Amino acid sequence: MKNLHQYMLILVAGVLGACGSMSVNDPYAEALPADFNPQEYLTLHPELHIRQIKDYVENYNANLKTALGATAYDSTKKADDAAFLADLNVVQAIYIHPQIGAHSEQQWSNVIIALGLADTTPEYKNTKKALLQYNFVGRADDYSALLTVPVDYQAVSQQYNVFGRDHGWAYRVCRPEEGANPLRSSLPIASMQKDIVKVDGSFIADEGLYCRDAAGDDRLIQ
Amino acid sequence: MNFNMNMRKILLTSAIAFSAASAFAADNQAEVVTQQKSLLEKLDSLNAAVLGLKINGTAKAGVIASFATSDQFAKESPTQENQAFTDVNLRLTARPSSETMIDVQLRLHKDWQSAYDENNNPVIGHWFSYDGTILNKHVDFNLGYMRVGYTPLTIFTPQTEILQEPEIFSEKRREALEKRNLDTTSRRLLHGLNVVYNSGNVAGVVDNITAQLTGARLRNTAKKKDQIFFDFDFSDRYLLGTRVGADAYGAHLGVNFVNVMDRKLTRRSKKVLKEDTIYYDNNRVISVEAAFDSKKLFPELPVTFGLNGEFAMSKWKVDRDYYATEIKTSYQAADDTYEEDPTREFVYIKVKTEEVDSYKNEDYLDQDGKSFYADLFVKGNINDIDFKVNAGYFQTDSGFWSELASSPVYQGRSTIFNANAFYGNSTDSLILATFGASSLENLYFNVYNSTTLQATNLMNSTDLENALVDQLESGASMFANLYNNYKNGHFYRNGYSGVTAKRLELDPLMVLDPSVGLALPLGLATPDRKGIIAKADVNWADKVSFNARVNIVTQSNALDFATLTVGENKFTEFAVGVGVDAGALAALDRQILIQGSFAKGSENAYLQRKTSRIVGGITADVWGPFALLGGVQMYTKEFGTGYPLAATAIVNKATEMLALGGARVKLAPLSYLSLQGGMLKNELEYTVPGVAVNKISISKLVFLADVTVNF
Repeated sequence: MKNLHQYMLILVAGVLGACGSMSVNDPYAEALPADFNPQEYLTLHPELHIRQIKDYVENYNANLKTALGATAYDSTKKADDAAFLADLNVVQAIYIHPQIGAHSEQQWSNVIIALGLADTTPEYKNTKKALLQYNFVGRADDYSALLTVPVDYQAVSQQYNVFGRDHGWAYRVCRPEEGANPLRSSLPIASMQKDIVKVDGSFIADEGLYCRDAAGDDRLIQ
Repeated sequence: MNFNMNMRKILLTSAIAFSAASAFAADNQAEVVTQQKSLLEKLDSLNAAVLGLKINGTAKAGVIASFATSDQFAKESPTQENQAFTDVNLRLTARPSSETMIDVQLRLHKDWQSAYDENNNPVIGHWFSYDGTILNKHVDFNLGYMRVGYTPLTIFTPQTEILQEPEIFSEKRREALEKRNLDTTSRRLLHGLNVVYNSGNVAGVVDNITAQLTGARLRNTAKKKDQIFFDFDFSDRYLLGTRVGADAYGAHLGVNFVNVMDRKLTRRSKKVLKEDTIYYDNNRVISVEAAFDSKKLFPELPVTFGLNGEFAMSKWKVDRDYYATEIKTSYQAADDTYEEDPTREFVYIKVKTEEVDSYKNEDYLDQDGKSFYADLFVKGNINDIDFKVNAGYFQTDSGFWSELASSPVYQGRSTIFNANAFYGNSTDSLILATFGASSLENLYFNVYNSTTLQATNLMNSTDLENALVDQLESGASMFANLYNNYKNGHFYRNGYSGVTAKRLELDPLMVLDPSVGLALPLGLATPDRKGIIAKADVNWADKVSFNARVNIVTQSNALDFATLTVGENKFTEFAVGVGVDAGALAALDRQILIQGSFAKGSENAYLQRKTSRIVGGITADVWGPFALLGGVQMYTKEFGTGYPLAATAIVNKATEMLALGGARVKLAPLSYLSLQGGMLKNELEYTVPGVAVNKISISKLVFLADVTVNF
């Protein structure tokens, strides 16, 4: 009888469970603002796109290393790195292309200066290392390969959830009627976050949502 | 009990003696012969029922020598091969009771040529079964090896039919089959448990109700990657068959069900290699059969007529396990600094992709199909002329598959004699290794020998790692495991096999080879066929016999190699045969049987194949213990649009001839000396693109001499 009671409970639970909705909601999608668009967010924060391209190249090279074995990979990499840096016109095109490196001509001239230094200087080494982050080892046409790197919008959306939102990153372009909204830099949270270490070391999350106006300033969405 | 039995034996023996004595007085001598036969049979069955252990068997001592000549042999190629052997087959039957019997068959084979290599010779047990008829003869059972046949669409063995095959040939074919435990019936060689229940007459209306259950373990031919020599197999494959039926008023109605399946669990107890794909086959067939024979209802009619029909539905399902390379994406939070202000950090989601091997199980194939046939027959005996005429229609979907009805035992394509010969030209070797040697050689000859085992004929491997673990079945390190090095092992060269093939593993060359059967290479269950089959057999008092066969069959979805379109392919096959016993005709007391037949087959699309077979033979008791046997067979297969073996070679025509003749002397009751000589010719014409027609022509002179004693 004792068991029967338990079975009845299980049965009731089962019936209730069966009647309930089984659809599962995506918690990340729910947490995003209703008008969040990862593509738009990415255009406002090109550094996320650059990171994705660099990570893609890194993954490609890591998988190649697994496939070839360390020794064969290292010799391939050495030859391919030299070939990549040999044609600086292509490297420049990669570096300043808005869809790849997204740097300015000014930044490129700094690269040229750094590459002109002795190859033992830290500046030279760091610059070279930064450029090689765009090199697919064992591929001849890096430029067109870099243009076809797929964007992982899931990672972009999640970045907004785990970091961008709390740090007051604008997630969309301001609409005309929002042109007079308060600037984020004028709000107390901006200085609180900026001087986080100076206050007491504890982080205070930004509760607001922001858009970016034509001038490149972030404004509070009300 | 035993005393009783002996008394009955004595009584029966004296009855036979009496009947023989009275035979002189009898008007109808044939009747006396029949009586004697039936009494002898009773005596045999009494003998068979004696409790205890009994040993029977055959012993054969013989030589086989074959001399091959061919312009295509390499200069250094051996041209002669000899076998000198003593082969003893022992059949041990033990009867613990009169109802059941244990049957064990052993083969001892001594090859005198390797006698000094190793004189220890293993005994090979090749048949183990426990059979019986129990429960007041209502239940028959077989445990162990057994032969089971249901219906032509469920469990059945399609056999090669050669009309008026002379005894010298049919005997050779029977011997070759026997070496593989096979026979010429349509029953299938299986091992497992088979139980048949027969009710006998029920309530005076139903003549019999039968129920049968068969369970067997089947050979799983799925091979893993590194299959080299040993046929290790970690997977299970089972047959479950059951049938029920009832007979009344000369009619029979039955339902048959057969399921052949691979078991996934046992296979999955071993890892799948990354390079492997394992297929799990599941074939189910359910059929309803109906038959009618007028003999029961109209016994007074001089002819009986009737009908046999079957309707079957099949399901064929294949699943597979394999490793696929997949890209696995994982996310992790990472940080970076702004380029314009390296002191400020931001967090982003790093995307990491890896190529991983993922183990996949998926449904691969699912096919259903239907098949049916209806066959009418008329048979009877009018004025000493026995006749039987059948005509029927059948139709099988292309999706139909019944594995146990579709695997012929003739596989062919191996080289039986002069297997040690080699060829100067690599294309010739390729053709002989794939297209195979003469079909007549495979149909009628076999070589069984015992040879010393050593590393060279046991295995061949290059990988030293992982031998006999779950990854590789065999490896070169198994050389170290060759404890039986230099012991004798038994080897076959035989064109027959009792292994059934899954549809995915069906040898396409075997199905294409018209030696098996042009229109119906897999018997009545051949997928995608419909048409008419007609047969006539007439026998006048065993003096003159006549047979005729006509098959007009259509395949709906055949690729025409000439036009490269898929369409209809029409097969036309006919065969006629005549046998005359001149001895019986001339009222001599001996048999002088002369036989001959002609068969022709063709198709109008696909490869536009044409075949013809001419058979002639004589079996004559000459004088006293001497008998002469002879036979000639000529077989040609033409491939109108060419039989593409590989990218490099296309076979156009094969012409074969076998002439065999000899004498048989009866030395003592059940003991014979046989001397035979013959000639095998095989000509293959093939083309290699850019080269004129090539020809391989091989002739083999064969001499066989043996003494056979049955005991």
